[in-house]
Amino acid sequence: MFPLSSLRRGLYNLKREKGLLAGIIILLTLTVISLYAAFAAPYHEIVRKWNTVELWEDYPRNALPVWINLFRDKKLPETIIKDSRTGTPGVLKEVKRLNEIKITRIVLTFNYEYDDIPSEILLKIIFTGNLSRRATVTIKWISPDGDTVTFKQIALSGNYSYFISLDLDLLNSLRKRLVSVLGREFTYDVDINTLLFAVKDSTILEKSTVRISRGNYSIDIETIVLEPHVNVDAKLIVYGKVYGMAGTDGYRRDLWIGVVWGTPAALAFGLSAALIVALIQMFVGAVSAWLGGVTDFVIQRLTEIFMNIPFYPLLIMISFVYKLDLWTLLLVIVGLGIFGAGVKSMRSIFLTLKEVPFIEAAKAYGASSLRIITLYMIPRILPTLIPNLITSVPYYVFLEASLAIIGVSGTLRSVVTWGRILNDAYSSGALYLGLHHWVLIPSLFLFITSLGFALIGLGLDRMLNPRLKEI
Amino acid sequence: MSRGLRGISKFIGLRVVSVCFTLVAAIYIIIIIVNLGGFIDQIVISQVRQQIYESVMEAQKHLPIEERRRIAEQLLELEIKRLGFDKPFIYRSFIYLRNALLWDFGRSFRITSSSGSKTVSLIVLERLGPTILLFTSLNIAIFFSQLFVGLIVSRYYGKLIDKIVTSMSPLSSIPGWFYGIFIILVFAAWLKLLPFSGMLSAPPPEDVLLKILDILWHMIGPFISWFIAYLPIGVYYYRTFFLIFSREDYVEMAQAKGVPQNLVERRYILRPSLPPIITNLALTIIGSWTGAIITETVFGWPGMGRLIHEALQAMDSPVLLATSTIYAYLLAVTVIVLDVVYVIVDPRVRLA
Repeated sequence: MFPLSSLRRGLYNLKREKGLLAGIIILLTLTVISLYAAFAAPYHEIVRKWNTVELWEDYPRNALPVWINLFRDKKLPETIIKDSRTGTPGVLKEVKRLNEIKITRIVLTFNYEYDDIPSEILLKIIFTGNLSRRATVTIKWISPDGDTVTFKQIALSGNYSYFISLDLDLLNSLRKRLVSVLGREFTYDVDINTLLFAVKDSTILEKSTVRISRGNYSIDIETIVLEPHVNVDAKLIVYGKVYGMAGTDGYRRDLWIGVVWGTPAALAFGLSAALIVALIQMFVGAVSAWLGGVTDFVIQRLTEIFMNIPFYPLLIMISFVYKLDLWTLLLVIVGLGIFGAGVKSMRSIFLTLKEVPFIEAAKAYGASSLRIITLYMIPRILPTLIPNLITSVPYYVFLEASLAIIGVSGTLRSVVTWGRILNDAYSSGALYLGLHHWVLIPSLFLFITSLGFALIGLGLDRMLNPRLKEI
Repeated sequence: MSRGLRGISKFIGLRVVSVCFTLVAAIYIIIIIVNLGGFIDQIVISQVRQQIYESVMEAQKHLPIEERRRIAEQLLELEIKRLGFDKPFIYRSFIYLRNALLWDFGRSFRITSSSGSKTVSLIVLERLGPTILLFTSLNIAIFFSQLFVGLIVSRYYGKLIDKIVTSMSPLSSIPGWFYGIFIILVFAAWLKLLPFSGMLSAPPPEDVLLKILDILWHMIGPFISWFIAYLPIGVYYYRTFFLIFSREDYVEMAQAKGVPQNLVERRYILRPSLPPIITNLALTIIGSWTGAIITETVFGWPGMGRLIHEALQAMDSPVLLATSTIYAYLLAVTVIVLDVVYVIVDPRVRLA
């Protein structure tokens, strides 16, 4: 369709415009990420998973990205999970039967080689089968130095989640024990994780000198069950402080998944909004310029009226009242944008085009209005239209993000978008808590996406703008 | 001269009338769109109900509570009929329009002004001042900086400075408030050089001069974020713009005549290109109101933008509606002011 020379010229221009190339690379990367996200988890899956708290139980809360350990000499721990139902190393399960009594002994062992304490420790005891009479459970903790501490001895009538890090009685007894051995008090409010994982000498008494005792730790769970058909299992989760490529948020969700799933949403929304609004405005401008007279007058006044409507406050109110979802938001933006400012500039371009000689010639040979508009005028307007379109994509992406950040967007209850992640970060006070990754990583994606589109748009503008060709 | 003056005043008069029509129509459309779910009706009914209950509960204290409630409900029904709620919405929409134009927005649900009043128009008017202060100064500062830096850079086409400016233009794809978040992180939280939020420190300084300086200090954050966001693209745009205009033949003639370069720039390049520049300024200012709202929220600036945020959190619908209406007024005023400037600048209009 295009003559070969203009194609070669196009490629030469492309090589000269390094910004354009960078923009295209960014966009291709984002498209690949979006395709991956769209195929790995369909829309409903994403909505369900991101909004279901229980699915994220095994993930640490507010964890930093794993690669942060590359910049630290004191390595932050990753999450360690030992489950007696799986055959992972470190799981020891013995079952002894004595007539009607079944004694199950589960020893879960893990190796701890990190330089910082875990964020939380959780032990789950799971019964399968009908437990009608209470089972007696004894839980012991064995440190690498051989020191054994009995945490608890309780009677259970069902599944039990033991939040070791929150056990205040345990905290008091462990602390008293250590103080009596060391002969001195703690200079700070020590927590259970430190008491369990730190070297138990005088260094533990000062917060700055705490050292981690590395080696094999075990948790020993002995259950006495009076119904032999009941099976006992245990799951130990030692929550780390780092996870994944982007860390986790306050709801334990993997931020990398959130950010990756937000990519197709952002791209699709931004592109569709930009495309639809630009095309409609071009069409309205063309009609207004071509038909002239009353139609022109009416369309012009309508445009001025809509330009006088404060777009953003109205959008906020509509969102507030109707809780717009991502796609209904698109509809509203398009609806409000039909008579936007772009119509005026499109119209002025079409007005100048109308008087060009070959349009007169086309009219002379009897071409229909539709043919003239579509075949002659629109191709001449594309060099102005397309760069503006592409540069406007970041505007719409940020529009959606800002509605989510303020908290009026309907996406807060459905799809993940980068704006929604930022909203969660703000309402959880992420910046005050030092959880910078929660804000920085979605922001980075917003930034790079906008930069990509702007580079392409501006590069295309330099290449295609007819007025610049003279320079 | 008088013919020119008559031409200007006729033009301005026409524009003012036209903008007034536009404003009225815009506010009417706002009312219709927002009330699609019966939103405004709900606000009004709840305000009326609150007033009636308050007055009945007090005035008829001697009666038992059920009796008072019955009276209140009867009065409420009468009021509903009187206000026209049993008729289709179209009748009420004009009453709302009249109220909006007269700035009568009733009383808020929860938000109060700093003097404790719940009159919505008072609440919004209090916030108008800070908004205008910050954003007028921001827009003017950025406009002139874009213009003059763009003009200067257009002299060096093809040189390194030109390439740097061009490559920095994509920075403007990101709105000012976004940079604002990180400015606060870096300068307020980390370096402790700038305040976290607000317009004045708490407690504000007594001395007037110190107070002004305090306000200026609080304005630095928004200024920096808006400059990073909006200067690059403006400089790029005006640089291209002046490049095109400096190739006009009358400019070449002036240079051949021996006119000094800065005079050439001022009289032969800048002056004729002012009309489209003013149009561009108009569109920029109108477009900046959007970003202004979130910027105010991010920097805690006590203007209308932050009022919207507070109203959202307090679910205070009358205040929301009022701020949207007043924004429409602001837009209309902006258009009129810029039309006046346009008229002064473009000689062709005077001769029409």
